[in-house]
Amino acid sequence: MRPASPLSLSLLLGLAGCGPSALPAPTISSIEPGEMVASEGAFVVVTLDAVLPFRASYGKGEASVDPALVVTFGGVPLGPNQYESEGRLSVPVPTLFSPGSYDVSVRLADGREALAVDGFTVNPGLWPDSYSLERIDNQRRNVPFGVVIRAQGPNAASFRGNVTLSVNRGQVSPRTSGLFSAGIRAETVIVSGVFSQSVILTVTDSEGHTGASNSFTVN
Amino acid sequence: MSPGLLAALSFCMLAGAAPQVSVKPTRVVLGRDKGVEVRVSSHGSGNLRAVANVGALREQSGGPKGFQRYFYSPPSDRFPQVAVLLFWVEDGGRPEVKVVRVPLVGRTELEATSEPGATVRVEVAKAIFGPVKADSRGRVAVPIEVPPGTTVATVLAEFRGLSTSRVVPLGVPRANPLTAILTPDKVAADGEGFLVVAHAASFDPAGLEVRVEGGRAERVAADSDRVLYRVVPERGAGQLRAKVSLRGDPEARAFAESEVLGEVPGGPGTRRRPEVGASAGYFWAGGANAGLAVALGAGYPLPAASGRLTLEAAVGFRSWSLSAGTVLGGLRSAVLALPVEAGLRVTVLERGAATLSGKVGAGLLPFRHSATPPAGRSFVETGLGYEAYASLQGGFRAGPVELFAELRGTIAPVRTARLDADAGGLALLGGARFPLP
Repeated sequence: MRPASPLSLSLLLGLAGCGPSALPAPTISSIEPGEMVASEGAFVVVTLDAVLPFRASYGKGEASVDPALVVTFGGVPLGPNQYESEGRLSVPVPTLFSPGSYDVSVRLADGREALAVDGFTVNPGLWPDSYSLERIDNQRRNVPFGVVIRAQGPNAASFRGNVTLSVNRGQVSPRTSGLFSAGIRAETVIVSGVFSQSVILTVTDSEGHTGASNSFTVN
Repeated sequence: MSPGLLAALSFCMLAGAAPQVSVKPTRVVLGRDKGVEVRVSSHGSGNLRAVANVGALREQSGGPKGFQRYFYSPPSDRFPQVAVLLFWVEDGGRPEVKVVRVPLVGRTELEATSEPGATVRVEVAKAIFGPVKADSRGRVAVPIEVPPGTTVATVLAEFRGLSTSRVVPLGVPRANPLTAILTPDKVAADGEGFLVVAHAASFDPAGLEVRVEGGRAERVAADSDRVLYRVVPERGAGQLRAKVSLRGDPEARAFAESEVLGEVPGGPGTRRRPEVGASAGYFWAGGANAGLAVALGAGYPLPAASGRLTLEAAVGFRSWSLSAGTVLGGLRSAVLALPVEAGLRVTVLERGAATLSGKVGAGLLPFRHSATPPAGRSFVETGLGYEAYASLQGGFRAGPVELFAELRGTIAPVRTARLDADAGGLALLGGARFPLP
């Protein structure tokens, strides 16, 4: 059999027009603001230009779009976890980053990724000297309870950052606190994985300043 | 040798090989005789054909091979005319026609007035009817028989030694004296047919006017009571329709027709011409898989299959779209496919101008998919699918053009990572084909 010539095949395909067979790579068109102070959290808007993964099912008369995505700053996954209006993704950046430049990436559900190299800068901040936690009574495991954390030292009143939470036994959730306000943060936590044991809750900021609670029993 | 003698010799030769026919009785008195028994003996491998210009000629069962019996029934009309019966063997060649004329004699009572008590006779075509005595008021009704072609009668009266005669018109309507056949019933497109025109008596063949739609007629033999024409179909004609009239006789008209086929029945293949065509219609494959389908094509008849097989190639156009909601808003998608296909059409039935065909084929299906997802840029992709189909076509030949309707079932998946569509399913198409000159 005589093979079809490349010219005839290209003409055949040319009848249908030209176009990629894969979706184009997404791009990050802007990051606003592009920097923050290390001790002050920020809400950053990452604007994404992308054709989201989609599928048109003519037989069913249906179409679907997968809005799932992952935003990372310096490799750390941050919210949101899905596409928002017009590609403007609001990302809360905690004060867990040391001063420096960080790559910002957005990975879509089909694996395509937009990358802004050194797209976000963290500037040095003013940190508390330490933290204190108000007395914690005995608790029940897996039952939420309140914790009040106070920043200590000369910069305590202006601190608007986050701290990480940890326990000496079991697990605590969340692992990162919300933003402090005027040096105080009231957080609701859950301790699990322990029973009838004494537990100490410890908070730590990205500069290594810490504070610890009293020992309390979790039943 | 003069042309007239040549023509006469030609028919003599025909008559020698024509079917032998005997009829009993040889004339029919309308209203009295039921009809005529006809016995025919013929030779050859073709079909014996029989036609009557008026009345009915019914084939009777039974009889040895080569012999056939018919019964001829006269028409319900009672006026006198000549029944012209034609017999020939249809074998695809020049017909050898036996023409039998059966006078249909009318019966009536001729009313006349004369002297009371007069003896009245009526002479019709040299036959005398009567005598009948006139009543007291001189009225008389004489039963008579009127043979075809007789338009007047002579009333003869005798009263007290005096004889009178009077010619009276009979008021017989004029009958159509012409009969025509076009044989064979199915003429090959590249073959020829024959038109035979017979007269109830004798006539001048030069006065015949013959028009054939779909073909050309050429006179090949003539006699005082019949003429033979050869008829050649025109290219692309689906039928031959012959109309015959006779100058000077407005009642003399005859009509005959034959179907033009793409092949000679039982004979060699016919050379059909390559053709081009176009079709358009609608396809539906479920859900949003529905839209316009258009195609341009060409066909090449394969000579090896008597013109019944046609190799076809076509390029087409199909377009359909989808609008649907998603979690982020509406998505608009549109597909344009350009099928390039090859197929084989088989003509399974031909009846007059009508045809029925089946068709199978396959092809490539280049396509273009454009989509506008919600809150994102538009996207265009292309791909190459395939298709396979089977269809039924009903066609109708109108001169050189064949119109057709097609019901097609197609498997034609059109798929990418983002598209699940179908360009096939069921399609209803209409179109036309034209033979190339």
